[in-house]
Amino acid sequence: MTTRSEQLLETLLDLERSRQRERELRIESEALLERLHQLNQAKDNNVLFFALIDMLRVVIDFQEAFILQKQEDQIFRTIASSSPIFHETIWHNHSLFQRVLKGRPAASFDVALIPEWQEQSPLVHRCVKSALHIPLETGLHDTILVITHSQPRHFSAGHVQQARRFSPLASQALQTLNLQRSLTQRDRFFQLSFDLMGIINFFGSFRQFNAAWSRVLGYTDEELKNKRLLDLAHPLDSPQLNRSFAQLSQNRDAQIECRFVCKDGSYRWLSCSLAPYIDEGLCYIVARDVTDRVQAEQQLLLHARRETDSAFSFLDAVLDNLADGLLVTDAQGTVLRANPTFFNMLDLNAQDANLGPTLEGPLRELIRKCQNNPHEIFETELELPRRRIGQATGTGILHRREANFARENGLHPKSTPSQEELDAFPSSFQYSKHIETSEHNIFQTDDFLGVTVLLRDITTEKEVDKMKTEFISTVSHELRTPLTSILGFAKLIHKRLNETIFPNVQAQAQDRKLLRAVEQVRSNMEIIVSEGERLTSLINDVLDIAKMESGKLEWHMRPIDLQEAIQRAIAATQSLLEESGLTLEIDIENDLPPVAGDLDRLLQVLINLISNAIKFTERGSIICRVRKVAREIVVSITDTGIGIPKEDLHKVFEKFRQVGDTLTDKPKGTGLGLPICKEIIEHHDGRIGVESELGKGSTFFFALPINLQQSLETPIIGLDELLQQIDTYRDIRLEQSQRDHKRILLVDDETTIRQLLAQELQVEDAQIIEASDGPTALMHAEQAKPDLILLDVLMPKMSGLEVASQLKQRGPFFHTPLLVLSIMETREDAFGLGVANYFTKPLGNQLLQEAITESLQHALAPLSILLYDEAPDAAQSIMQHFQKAGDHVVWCSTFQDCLQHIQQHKIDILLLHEQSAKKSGFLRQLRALSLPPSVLLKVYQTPLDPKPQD
Amino acid sequence: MKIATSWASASDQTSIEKAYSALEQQLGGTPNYLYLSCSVEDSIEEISRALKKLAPHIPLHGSTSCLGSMTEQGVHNQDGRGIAIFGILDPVGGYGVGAAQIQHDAKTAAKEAVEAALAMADCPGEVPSMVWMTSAPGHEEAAIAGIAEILGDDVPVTGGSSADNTVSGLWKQCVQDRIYTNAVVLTVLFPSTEVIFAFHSGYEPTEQKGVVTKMGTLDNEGNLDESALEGRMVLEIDHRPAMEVYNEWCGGILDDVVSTGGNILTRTTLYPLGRVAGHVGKIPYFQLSHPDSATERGAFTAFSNICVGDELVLMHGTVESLITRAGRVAASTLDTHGIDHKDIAGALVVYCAGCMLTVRERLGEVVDGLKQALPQTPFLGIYTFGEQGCFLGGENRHGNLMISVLLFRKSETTF
Repeated sequence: MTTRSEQLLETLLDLERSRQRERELRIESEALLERLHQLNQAKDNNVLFFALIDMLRVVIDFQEAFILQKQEDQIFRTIASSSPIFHETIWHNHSLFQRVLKGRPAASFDVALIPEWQEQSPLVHRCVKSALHIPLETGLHDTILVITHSQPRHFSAGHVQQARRFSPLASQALQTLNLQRSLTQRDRFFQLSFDLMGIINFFGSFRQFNAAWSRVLGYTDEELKNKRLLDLAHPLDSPQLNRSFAQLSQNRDAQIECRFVCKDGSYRWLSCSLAPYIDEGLCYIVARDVTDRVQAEQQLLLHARRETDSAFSFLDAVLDNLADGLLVTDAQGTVLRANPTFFNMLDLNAQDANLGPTLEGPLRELIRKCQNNPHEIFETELELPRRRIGQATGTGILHRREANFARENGLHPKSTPSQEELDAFPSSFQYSKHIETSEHNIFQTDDFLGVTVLLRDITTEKEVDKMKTEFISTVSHELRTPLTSILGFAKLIHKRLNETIFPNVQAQAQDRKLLRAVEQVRSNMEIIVSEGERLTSLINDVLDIAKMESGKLEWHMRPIDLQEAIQRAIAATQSLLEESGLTLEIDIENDLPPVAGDLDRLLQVLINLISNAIKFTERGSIICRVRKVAREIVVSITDTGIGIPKEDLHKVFEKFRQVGDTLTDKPKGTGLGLPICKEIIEHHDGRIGVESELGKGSTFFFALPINLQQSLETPIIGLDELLQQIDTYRDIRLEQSQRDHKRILLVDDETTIRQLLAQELQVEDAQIIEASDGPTALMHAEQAKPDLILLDVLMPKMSGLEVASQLKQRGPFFHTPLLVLSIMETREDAFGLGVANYFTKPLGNQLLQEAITESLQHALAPLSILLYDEAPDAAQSIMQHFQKAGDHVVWCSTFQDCLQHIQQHKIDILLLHEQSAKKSGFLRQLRALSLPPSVLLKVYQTPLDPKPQD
Repeated sequence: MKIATSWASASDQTSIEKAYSALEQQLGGTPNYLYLSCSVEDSIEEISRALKKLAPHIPLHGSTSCLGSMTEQGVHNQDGRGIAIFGILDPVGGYGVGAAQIQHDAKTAAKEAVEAALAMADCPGEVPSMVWMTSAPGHEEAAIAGIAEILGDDVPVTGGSSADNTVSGLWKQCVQDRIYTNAVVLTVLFPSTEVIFAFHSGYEPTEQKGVVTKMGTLDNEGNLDESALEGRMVLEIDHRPAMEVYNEWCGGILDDVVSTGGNILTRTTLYPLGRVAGHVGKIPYFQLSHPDSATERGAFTAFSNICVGDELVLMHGTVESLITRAGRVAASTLDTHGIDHKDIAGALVVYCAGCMLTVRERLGEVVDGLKQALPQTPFLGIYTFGEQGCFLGGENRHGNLMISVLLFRKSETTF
């Protein structure tokens, strides 16, 4: 029974406790809820604060309260308080505040023991002994509500529990207030925004929109509520807007720029961003009125188009009105454009023209060259209709830009691509060069876009050119031919008179008058000869300068040994030197490299400079120096002559000027010597100059670049054919050797020349055969098999070079000496054909005689053959062949041995095995040696040599 | 907040390590507070040293309990020994332990202990949610007064006096590894969650009542001072020898000691004397005193202070009610606060050693009762020589034969 009553008592107690507690909580709750309502109605912080403390007083007794909020400097400051003693107080964050801010209200029984409070003023400490700190969650800043009491130990653990219940309510109220403020601010922002903002459903109907829609489109709010976005879109933009909505339905954002109709019927461009929220079934739209921008862009575009069209039209007009024909192709060679001039030149109708066939031949070849080397400029001549001639100049169309190699070719970015990588992308970077930038992989690249060809009708130029050529050749021929006769016969007469007639007359005549007459005649003949020679020299100089200026002069460029050239120049001026009594010193640097040049022209320069030095030096000496300076060979002629005034130095290279026009007893020249020297040196890419001091002497110098690029195209002949040619020649030589008289074939279309030569050659007791043209010459050559052939070049029907070519191709004349006598400068071509020597008319008899004598003698000697072949077996069989015939054959298996033999011995024929020569670079070395033109160079192949790949 | 308990059968390092490790494992981390309960047969020195090694920076509060302890795992009482550890994992909360030897008076010691505990918790000047106290028996009221002087009257004080196995004064207390025999040791709790407490007597009042008309105290020389107004020796009730009155109220069960004196502790467990501590509505609730001995002069002593003028009411209880009381108090506390047991992280239970001795053979049923009220909830029960608690009216009192229950909530209170 006791237990039961005990349990009953406990139950009653529990019940009573529960009811009491429930009552307390209910009262507390009701009071809090009532105050909470007021709290939620608070519009500003002040009202909120007092509502808060009012609410708190329901459950907790306190005297004062204040709110602390953490500022950006991490210090708590009072933002609201019920007592002025807390105004503008500063609180530092220590452990109590840290615990409170973690959500744990804390009561203090004695604030003097709390670090946060210890920093406060004595006044505060006088007024406050107990405090309860309650955290408030505002969502923005750390905030603590502090309630205080002047009595110590006022706040209990129970108060802390009540504060725990209060804190979330208060925080909620604060957050609600903040949220309301945010919403108000957002609403304000929403409405004030110039951008159109709104919320629509997936059908495009407005759920919410700001004032900007009305402002921009002119509708009232009511009207907009009843409209769908799609209804407002311009009909042409509706499909695009529909696509955007489709995108939105797939939960993807959309951006669109399109026109929307205004209330007044006009359209405005809106740039819209739409974001879907599928869960809400809504889309959020922000739009901006970009009508002005779009219109401005359209205007700009229109203007730009007009400008572009105008520019293109102008360009079209320019291109169509070009005097030259213009053809433009793309990179693949397909014709993109041709102007009317182009069509006219080709006699084509622009409307119907199919340029395909036209672009075959030279034009196609030109385009192909330009495609392969677009940076170069290529030229070609082609035949135009109506016997006109065109010159086409083509080059690639390149668009220069900077490009990132890796990015363009999908490579991983790195510092510099390798050559292999560059080669792998030829189309992108074929014409590129790497430029140093802070960003790696930058190339300045020229994108090849196509080919442009300019076609010019050069028929007139050609005709003029032809006229010039003909004029020069005519003048040369018309002046030189009679002059050759005049001078030649004058010399002949002079010679006859001096050698035969005058001695007899002088021996027999007693009459002083007769003797005087003889002397006069002698003197007159000397004058005639010297004046004739001077006229010849003058004509030569004039023609030379004319040819140089018109570009008609043929240059025979080959490696030149300057030392040898100087020796020859000195030999040529020896007589002058002896007459002057001057000494000529030579100072030539050792191991000078060869220079490329026309030997005869350089000789002309050297002779002119040496002659001038002799002419203008009365006493003293002349020094000829040759030095290698950097990339040049500098030749200087220094004299101790009269010198040149400083003010006249610039004139020395002008035509028809002799320095110092006053009459003196200085020797005179044509006034063209130095200008001709200047033309010659400048053609060699050199420079010429003079240094002088009046009364002390002068130094004339010229510098030639060290640049040896020669190509020597030597025909390759099969070995069997070569051996057969040599054998046939050997038979003819045997026959020739058995003759009593030498047989010389004279070939010249001028009868007087032939007569002159015949007279000269008869002295040599030679049998002369004459031919006035090429075909006759060939016929006579076949029949008579002459020991020597003298050839003119300029002849009707067949030129002398052609005769020489045909003769050399024929076995019997393989090694027959051919001497060319001509007014034309075709030396290179002649030598290339195997001509023994080449002379320009008019020439000295002595020279000719020496050449003839030498050639005849040489023609009779056994052949001295040098063979270069790296294969001993092949070489042996060739050697046996020649040795059997009695020829002197030397075999070299290395080109060093070969070079050495050439330098040390005189040879007639140099036979080079093609493969061996190419492999060893022998040909290149050989050119540097300047083989005498009399040496026949033959390059042969054997049947066993590998054929070149097609 | 998480709470766990563990127990050990021996005081050596290994056993304590094992027990601590089990505690940590249950908590899932290092605890923020430890309470140690053991008997005087266990070496509280060794245990506290071991725990300090394992958890050097964790506040440790310890006290001896009569004949062991009880947890949700059962009664830990083997040959007079029983070690149990109570741990709280509450990183957001604050806990501090302080102790002061009772030299001159317990009030001063309590004040010192409060200040020391607040300092350890790093909460100087702050009001804790609760004070958990274990002091040497005899000065509990003074200690409560000292706490109130610092913290105020409204801070709940709960706890139990240290006990030994034979009422021989062998009880001990500890803070960290410092051991005391006569100290006030307390913990100030600043838990991150709410702590609910209940302080119940569990006896029903009878019609027998009287007013204390004379109290006595003994000075250091054992001389009786009859002028005391408060003390633990009741000389007269209604101007009659107190023992005589009490014996009459108890039906003469103490006839043999009325005039000769003697120990009456175990015979009066079911007959404590109550004083009205307050009312819940109109229903009074009582603070109990347990007469423990009779004097030759016809007086009796109790384990709590009584004042001249106090109306003493004979209370009556039964063994069954003692057994079921702990569980009923726990359940009643939950009901009163409208809390589900699932929301309870753990509990501390203060069970009077006198009651424990009375129901000793059936302590397992006490544990079962608690487990029924707090299923799957860790708890530690200690057997004390006096209980302290806060009545519903907010009164902090020291009593005897009382039940004091502390329930720690798992999560924050929601309104």
